[in-house]
Formats: sequence, C-alpha cells, structure tokens
Amino acid sequence: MIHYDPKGLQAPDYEHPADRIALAAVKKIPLLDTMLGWVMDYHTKSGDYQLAALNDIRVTEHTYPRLYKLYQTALDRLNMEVEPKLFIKNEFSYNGYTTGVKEPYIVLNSFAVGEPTDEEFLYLVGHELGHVKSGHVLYSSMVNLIYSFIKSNTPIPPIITEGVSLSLLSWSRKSELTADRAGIIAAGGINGAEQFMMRFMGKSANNRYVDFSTDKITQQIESFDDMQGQLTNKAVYWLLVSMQTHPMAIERLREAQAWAKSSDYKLITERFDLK
Amino acid sequence: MKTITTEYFLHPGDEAAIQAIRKIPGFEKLLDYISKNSYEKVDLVQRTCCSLQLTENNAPKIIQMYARIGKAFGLEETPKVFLRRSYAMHNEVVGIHSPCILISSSVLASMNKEELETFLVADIAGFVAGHGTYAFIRRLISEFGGFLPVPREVLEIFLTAMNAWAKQRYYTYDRARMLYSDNYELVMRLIGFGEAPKEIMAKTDLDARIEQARSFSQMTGLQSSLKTASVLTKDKPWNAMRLAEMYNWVESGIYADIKEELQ
Amino acid sequence: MGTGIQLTLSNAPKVYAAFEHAKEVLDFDVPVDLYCYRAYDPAFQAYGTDRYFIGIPDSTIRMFTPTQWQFLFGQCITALKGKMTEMLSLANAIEYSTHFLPLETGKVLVAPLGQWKRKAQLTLDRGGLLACQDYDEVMRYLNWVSGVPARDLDSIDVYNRVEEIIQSTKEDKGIADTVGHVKNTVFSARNMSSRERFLELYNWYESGTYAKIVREHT
Repeated sequence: MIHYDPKGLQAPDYEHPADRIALAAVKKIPLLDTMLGWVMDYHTKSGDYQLAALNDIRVTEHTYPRLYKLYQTALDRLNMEVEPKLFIKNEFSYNGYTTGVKEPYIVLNSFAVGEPTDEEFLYLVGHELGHVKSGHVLYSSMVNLIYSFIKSNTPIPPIITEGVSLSLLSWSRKSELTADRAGIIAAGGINGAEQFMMRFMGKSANNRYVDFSTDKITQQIESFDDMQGQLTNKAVYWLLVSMQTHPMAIERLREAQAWAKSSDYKLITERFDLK
Repeated sequence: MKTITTEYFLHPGDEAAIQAIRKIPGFEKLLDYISKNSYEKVDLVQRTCCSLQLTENNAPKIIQMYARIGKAFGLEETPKVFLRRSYAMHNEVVGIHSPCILISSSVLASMNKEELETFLVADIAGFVAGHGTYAFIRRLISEFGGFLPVPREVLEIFLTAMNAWAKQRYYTYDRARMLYSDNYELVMRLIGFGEAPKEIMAKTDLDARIEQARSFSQMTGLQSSLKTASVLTKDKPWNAMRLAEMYNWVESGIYADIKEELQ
Repeated sequence: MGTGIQLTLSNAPKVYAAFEHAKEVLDFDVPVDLYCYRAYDPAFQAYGTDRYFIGIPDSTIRMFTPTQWQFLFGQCITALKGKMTEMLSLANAIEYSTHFLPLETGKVLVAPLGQWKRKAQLTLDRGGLLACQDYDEVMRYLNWVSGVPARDLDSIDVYNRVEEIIQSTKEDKGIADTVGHVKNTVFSARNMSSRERFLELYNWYESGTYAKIVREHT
C-alpha cells in the first residue's frame, strides 16, 4: 500500500535539532555509508532477519489483522516512503528494535504489544518508523558494531575508544528523542507516548493503588529538573547515562511533553492534518 | 500496643549476623558514611529518572499504609517509595542512611488491601533491623570484589555466607508480619504468595502446605544435600522452610508470649 | 517441592483434569506430582527418573486454555515416557563440559547433540497433539510461541498463518538469506524455530498419519 506523498510530512519537520546536528557530523565520515551499508545488510540478512523470519510472526493483513490496521495508520501519519516488514517476537519486555539498511524491518516484543492500548502501540511502532524515516538505522547499527568492537580486546588506547563511544552514544540518545516525536505523531497525540513511557517506570495492568494520570507525574519531572540544577546530581546523571543508547525515561517524558505543547507540533498537526 | 522493636521479631540467625557486624568498632558508621555519600546519591538519581515515585499525590493508600507500619515499628519518617516493573513477588529496600523502597508492580497488581499492608511490613521491619548494612556489604563485594587481591574462591565463600544471612532475613520478615497483623492464616498465605494463581491458592489447604513443608524439611541423604546445595547461591530460602519456621514459632508459644508483652 | 504449590484434584481441579486426560490418552500410568511456581515464561518442565515431577509456571495457567494445558502435559508425558528427560539432561551436561575444550572443538562435538535436541521437540509436539486432539488449539499455542500475545490468540486465524508460512518456503532467497537460513536451522544449537514446528505438525496432520493413529487407538 502506498503511503508516501512528496508534499507530506518529512523527517526534518519534526527531528530533534540536536539529533540533526549530531547525525550530520557522523555522516561526514567518508565512505561510511557505502562500506557499512553493504556489511550491515549482509550481516542482518544472514543473521537477525532469518531469526525473525523463522521464529516471529510477521504482521500482515491476513496473519494479524488488528495490528496490521494500526500499522497502516502509523505509516500514513508518518508519510512513510517504505513499508518495513513488521515482526512480533515472543519476549517479555517493553521493547522493540529496527534494523536492516536497504530493507529495514521492525521487531516488537510481544509484551510491548499485548498489554498496551492501541494508542500506545501506535506510539511504539511510530517510534521505530521514526528511526527508518530519519535514516538512523545504519548509524545505530554502526553504534552497536563499533561499541562491541571497542569493548572487545582492541589495541586502540582507551582514551580514543571511550571518546568515540561517548560521541556515538550521545548521538544515539538524541536520535531516540526524534523517534519519540515520530511516535507522538503516529499516535495522534502525547497520551500514547506518556502511558507507554510510564510502563518503563513501573506501570502495569491491574494496579488499583496508583493513579497513572500524567498530571500526577509532573512533580517527579520537576524533581528531575531540580536535580539537574545541582552539579553533583548532574554529574551522577551524566555518569549513569553516558554509556547508554537511550536517555532515561523521565528525560524522554519531559522532552516529549515539552514538544507536544510546542508551537512546532501544533504547526505540524495543522499543516499535515494529523489530528 | 507498644512499639514493635527488633528484639521481638529478629530471627536469632539474623540477629547474630547483624551483631557480628556491629561488634567491629566503627564499621557500621563507616559503611553508613560511604553509602550516604556515594551509592545513595546515585540510587536516588537513578530511581527518579527510571521509576515512578509513589507519593501522597498518586498513591495515597500505599503511603498511608507505610505510615501506619512505620508508626507501629517506631519509624517516624517513611522512606521514599518507587515503583519497579517486575514479575517477582518481593520488594527491595536500598540504602542505609536514606533508603528507597522499590515496590514490585506485581505485588501491587495481585494483593488486596489487607494482604498488601501486611506484606509491606517487611520493608519497614528490614530497615529498622539494620538489613541495609548487610545488603550494602553484599553489593560492594559483588561489584568490587574482583578488584580485591583475594582469590575468586575466597570471595565466593564470603558471598555464600552473605547469602546465608540473606535467607535468614525472610524469617525475620515473617515474624514482623505476624506481630503487626496477628493473623496467622494471612502470614502463612503470604509465604509463597503468587506461586500459583489466586483461585488455586485459595483452595490450597494450609495444613497440606505445612505437611509438604514438613516432608521437605525432613529430607535425608542425597536429597537433603541437594536441597542445601541448590540454595547456597540464592538469597531466598525455600518457602517450605519459611512455613516450617513460622509454624514452629507460633506452636512453641513464643509468639503468644511476645504478643502479651507488647500489649 | 521447596517453593512451589503442589497441584491436586482438590485445589486445581481443571488443571488436574487436563493432566489426567493427557495421561489416559497417552497411556502413561505412572505417578507424577504437579507443582506450580511463579515464572513468566510458561514452559512446563518435566523432571525425574524414579519419581516424576512436572513444574508448571503460574503464567501458563492464566494464559492458556485447558486444551492447551493438555497439549503441554502431553509434551511432558511424551518426554517422560520416552526417557527424554534423562537424555536431555545428559546432552546438556555434555554440552556444558565441552566449553573447556580448546578452539571450536566443543561446537563441532555438540552439533549432532544440538540437532537431536531440536528434532526431539517435534516428537514432543506430536505427543502433545495426540494428548489434546485439537489441532486448532495447538496451532494457537504455536502462534503464542511465535509472538502473538495471549489477548490476540483467539482473533487470529491459524490457517492464514499456516498459509503464510507455506508461501514463505516457496519464496526465492538470495545468498545472504540462504546462508542465514542454513545457519539458523542445520547448524543452530537454538531451539527448533516456531516456523519449523508449524510446518512439521501441519505436514504430519495433513498426511493423514495423525488421523490414522487417533482412529486406531480410539
């Protein structure tokens, strides 16, 4: 099914500015695209893709109609040029990943699809589609590859390897903020993103004792902001997050809420009729 | 009722381990200082960023439960409480000086009010009893033991000893719950809560469970050795052992005497 | 025994009835104790040599239907009846001991063992199907293994899924796909993939062999 309209939503319309700048710097490394693209494609096709094809259910109109319909909604809202294959994998965590450079595909964990609502699913699959739309897949695969190489027994001095890791991972965290924005667009609003992120923070079904309304979490976001104002806490936060590919949930929540309230988001939804 | 102080609920094995630490002059204070100025700062930042904090605003019933329990055990200020997504049916308390309680999402999803309040007693009782110190030592050994100039086997022996203490904690928790709730059936039900769906647990006869526990504790020969060896590296005792401990504590009359003293 | 809850006719009548049904169909008249324990991964475990046990994760009871329990019990009984539990333990012990061998010698030695373990899963699936005799429910269970969450199991047409799997086997593969396919099937030490299990069971069912066995033993 064709979703793409050249006059429709493009990645730069919603990309996080820090992501755009960092990715532009990474792209300047000569021949990286060509060399790595071929290597990653072969590696993915002969490895991970086959595992997904053998073990996981592929979402199609006939095999998984409920998710297929939602997936088409996300593809339309994000004005996708390609329709990555979507697999659901039997795994007990709220997670998913996107890989494959020339032929990207998405794998979501069954736990991330079973409990969450339709809105949350749209956010999650939109997040992964955001990685495809912004061309993150090659570079995030590169992050994983280089990070594993660096962490193995390499003769390169740590001062260089750690420096390279830090900058790549810093870009990776920015790219997640872009993908979150794509998820918000796919879900038609912030609600799906907020509720899904709260699952990272402990929300689960059948919990009668906790009010998971997002206005209740404002206090915690304010505590986080106060913490960032103190040098010791800021240093601790940086130490905790510097070697991670994703920002922490509270930072993602704060960024997502701020963007959803911004005039940029309002303009996008009005211009492309996304409400 | 009087404040439930540690002398009433500490299991003898647990108490002996804690006293052994306290006999080393200044050691506990040193650990408190290190914990306060390092791990607890890091833990608080990590929790604030990754776990939902439970407050009077979003989880009033839970905060009020902890306040009531704290009052019963002589604790004036309730620790900070965070929610942790987990299938496990136990909570964690991290820190010595300013601890954080990490409640498992499964605990909140499965229990009614009475069960939950009695269950949460362990978190406060553990803190009051000084379990934070031991837990901190275990954590330090696990994370930094590799840097010490001792053979790995020596560290393993030490960790095994720490695990032995860690198992004793649960007997202390069960006693604290019994003193707080005065509900034998409920406390026994909470031992192994969640091992089977609720409708099955409701139909499982307590006497049958005690009988199972008795058979288990009376294993001999190879089975007994395997039973001991299989939990050496674990920090939780068999539920059957906990049931047997609680049964003996109540049947012996010790519980009744303590209860009378607390009135 | 130390942690789990023993399941009997009085506290778990439906589960116990499913177990008794599977035992009767597969003609296994040996005492087996059932224990339920807390675990999210709903994989039954059969143990024992002179005294048999089956460990049942609590999540299995909540997620699956009684017929699917019969299937899972059927798998366990097939393993116990065929002494596969002992053989699997031995295979695992041999695999573990080969970690200490130099270079990749260990991997070469355990490749045949790994292949046997994978193929054994197909026997267990057949035993499970015979125990419950409900092809659709077994296919739904395999859909769960493939990643369909419990809430969607009933809404997915299992025959569409089988059709999709059969079609995928007819698709042309590039070199990378073929390499990956062979790597993950012939030379893999992982469990049998859900696609392979679907296909095998489908072929066995469609061939008429399954129906013949049921007819002969009814």
